[in-house]
Amino acid sequence: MSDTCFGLGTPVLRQTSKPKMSGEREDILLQVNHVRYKKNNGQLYLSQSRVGWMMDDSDTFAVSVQYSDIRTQKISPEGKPKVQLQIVLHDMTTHTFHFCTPEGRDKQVIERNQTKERLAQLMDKRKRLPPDDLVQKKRMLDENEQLCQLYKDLVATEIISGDEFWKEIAVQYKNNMGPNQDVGISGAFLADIKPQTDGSNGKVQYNITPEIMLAVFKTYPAVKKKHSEYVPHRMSEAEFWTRFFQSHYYSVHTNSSSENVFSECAKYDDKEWNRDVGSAKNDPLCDLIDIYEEKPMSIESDIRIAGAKAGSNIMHATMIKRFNQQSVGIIKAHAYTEREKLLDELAAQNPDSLPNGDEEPEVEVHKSKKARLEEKVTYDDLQGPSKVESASLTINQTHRYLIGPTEYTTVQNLEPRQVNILQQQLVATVSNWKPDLPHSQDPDAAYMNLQQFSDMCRRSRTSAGIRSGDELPGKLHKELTLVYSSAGELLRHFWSCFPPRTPQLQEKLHRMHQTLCRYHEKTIRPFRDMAVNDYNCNTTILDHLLGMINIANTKYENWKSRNSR
Amino acid sequence: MLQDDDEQDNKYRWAASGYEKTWEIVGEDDSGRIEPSVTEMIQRARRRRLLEREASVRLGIMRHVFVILDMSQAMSEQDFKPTRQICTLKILEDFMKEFHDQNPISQMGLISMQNKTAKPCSNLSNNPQRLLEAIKKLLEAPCRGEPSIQNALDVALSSLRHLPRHTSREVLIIYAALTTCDPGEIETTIKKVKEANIRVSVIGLTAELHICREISTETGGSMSVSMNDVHLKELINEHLEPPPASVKMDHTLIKVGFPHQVNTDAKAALCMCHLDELPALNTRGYYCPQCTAKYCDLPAECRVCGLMLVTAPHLARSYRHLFPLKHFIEEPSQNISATNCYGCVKPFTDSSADKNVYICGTCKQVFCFNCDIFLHETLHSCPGCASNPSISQYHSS
Repeated sequence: MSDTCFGLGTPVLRQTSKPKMSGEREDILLQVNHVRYKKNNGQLYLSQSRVGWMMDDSDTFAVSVQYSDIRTQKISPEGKPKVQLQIVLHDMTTHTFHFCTPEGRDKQVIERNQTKERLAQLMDKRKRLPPDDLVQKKRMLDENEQLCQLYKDLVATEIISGDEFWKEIAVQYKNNMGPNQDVGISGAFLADIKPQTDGSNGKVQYNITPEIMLAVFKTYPAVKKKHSEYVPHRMSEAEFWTRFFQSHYYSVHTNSSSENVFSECAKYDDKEWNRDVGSAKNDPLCDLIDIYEEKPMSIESDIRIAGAKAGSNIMHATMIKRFNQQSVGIIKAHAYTEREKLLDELAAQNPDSLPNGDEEPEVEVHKSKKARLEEKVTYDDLQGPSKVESASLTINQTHRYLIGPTEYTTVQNLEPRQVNILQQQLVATVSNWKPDLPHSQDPDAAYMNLQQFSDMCRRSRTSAGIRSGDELPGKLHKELTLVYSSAGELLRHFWSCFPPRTPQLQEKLHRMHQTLCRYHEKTIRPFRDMAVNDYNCNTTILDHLLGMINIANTKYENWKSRNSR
Repeated sequence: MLQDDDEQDNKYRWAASGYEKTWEIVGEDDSGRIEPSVTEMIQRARRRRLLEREASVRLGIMRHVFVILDMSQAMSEQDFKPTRQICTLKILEDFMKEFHDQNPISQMGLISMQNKTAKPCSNLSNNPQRLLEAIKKLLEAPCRGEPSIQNALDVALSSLRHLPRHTSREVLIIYAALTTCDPGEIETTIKKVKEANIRVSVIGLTAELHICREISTETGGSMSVSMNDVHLKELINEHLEPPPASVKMDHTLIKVGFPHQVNTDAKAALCMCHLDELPALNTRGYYCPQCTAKYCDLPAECRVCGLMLVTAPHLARSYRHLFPLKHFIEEPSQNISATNCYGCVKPFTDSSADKNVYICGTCKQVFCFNCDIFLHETLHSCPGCASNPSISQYHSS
């Protein structure tokens, strides 16, 4: 019997056979006995990468869930007799565990809370994974009707498989989808919560939206921790936020009774502030450590220079300190988001990577006092405008732009004397010309030509009528449009493979050609037959589309014959 | 202690120190209107700018331009009548029509910034109709919240990044707010924009912000702040001209198709540009020479084979950049014997507008101030040279 490996925080020491999770030896970080699942007694295990539940007297896991699959966890409210923990997965399935230690309800609650905290920590660590594929695919289909239609046409009729569809065709749409946008924190987010006073009672009403809550959590991480601890079982949301607004974060005069919730936050914030100020050693001209202390007034010659009077009034000093803390909090929240985004991008590029440690803190460059003074003295705006480097254009053969390619004709050079004579001859001929209209053309031939001409015009006008879209019944017209749309997409992917320089493009070209042939067989032929039989239509209705497919086919054949030589 | 006894002749110190009394320049003309003198000032500034533009510089003629418009609370101010939002949108409408006229092979898109996010109102397209519809919708949208430059640049970047390297990628930001509320570090976005070779220009309506100035200098764009609505129109119209190409732009041969309008053996087809609304099945339109897809209007980019479809007149419009009209020589009107302008046949008067006349270097004809601006900005050819057979026949430029 092998021993169990324990990590930190194991509440119960037991020697049991170490369960093998899918053939690997994993460290168990937390084990809780007397946990019921679906009315069976068993134990709950938390390991490095997953949570599992095993029934008593069994050595296989009935439930084993990776942390990356867990979307969120919930606990049963305070008043309920059953102490439960529920895990919700990404695909909306749930697992509910019931803590039933015989040692009493309090112990159950302690165990449950311990489990919940550990689970939350482990889930957070695992969260940095590539974005959920399924959600993204759904989003793409929702946003692009054309893609949705194409999906139905191609995958539903089994012309290409689903995987191929997402790999080949949807890639371009994925590139065109806009980025997921995050929202920054406005500097005035607390000030914008304009409380409304109810004149009669003296009650003040604050309207809080989820965005404001998010902004508060991002700026003050201590408050976020408190919120997750207290809500919903110790305090309701409304109560928490009322206490928040009464605390030092929002009002100058704090109520001593509500101190207990946020006083720890105040201590945490002060510690953070001292740490930040101490690390901002970048600027030798700016010394932040003692800005809240009272400075003696320095007297120079006859003029009194007043020192920073922040410390003169304790209230003012405290307020200014709180303002500064809020600003620092906002800036740090932004920097944190940026780091998260960077790590997300890295994770998306290598989905199987694991972080191998925390990142190093950034090393700040020390600027010497001299460099800093120089910076203060020079202004970029006052320097002269810098010359922008631009590419120059020289046109060598201008006449090629102005005269199109002409045939090479020999030009006869004439002397000016000859030009004059020719000019006089031209003038004479024009002035002596007598028009002879009745004999300029044969009347019968002219009449026949005119008849033929008007006949052709009439014919072309009516044939355009047959071909015009007014003649098509509505439903057929819509279906034709859809067929054109899907075929157009396929052809677009086909043409994008040319010229096929890389082997992947060549592969894709072969596949697209096959897809086109199959599409032609399965969709276009039946459509044409249906159009002719059901709607009694002209058989030329799909000629153009077939022509496009033929041209694509010819191009493919040409390329193949040229390449296989 | 600080009183100067020199200034006893009732002049203010600031007046004596060479302060420019700009209000004295504006005067009423004979009919009692002030407007002509103001427009004259603007025209003179315009002419000065034309002179600065150099010839023989390679330009990026195939342009992909995103216009990022600020729709935050600052746009509802009324210092530009009736509100900044309406004034700017009307100017943008004219700008987009002109842009499509003068840059037929370029594409334009529209993004709006509101409530700390950016919304793409119209994707890059050749067709000005979609843009004009997007602008109409924005006219009725309320202006709220704070703008976010980072989000807007991210949205523009995601579209511009995938374009081929030989096109000129530009972004024009019209900014009225004095703050920006971004979710992260804007420095990283600026770096990404610079790497993607995008040229960002900013036109401010309120004041110049340090971050706007930094973005435009880092990416090689221009930054300006408008004083009134006429000035704003001018600043926006400056972007009608193609910018000089950056040295990093590739120069390659581009395949272009010239469809014929009359096709004798064409088959009836649905057009690919209107597949969303039910198009008619007929033979009217242009067929792509490579894949025979049909389009109603040119210029267009073939959606099937990716070929650029233009007509010859569209390309010929860019000739004015290759062979620009040379600048006219400025001379005081007393020295010239001609009494009328060759372009508009208006007699030269003694007013301040006709103080200088302009002479074409090639054909030596005399033009007035207005004709000079018109010929250089709109017509791009000299009527004197065109009507002179010996000059026009041998194309000596």
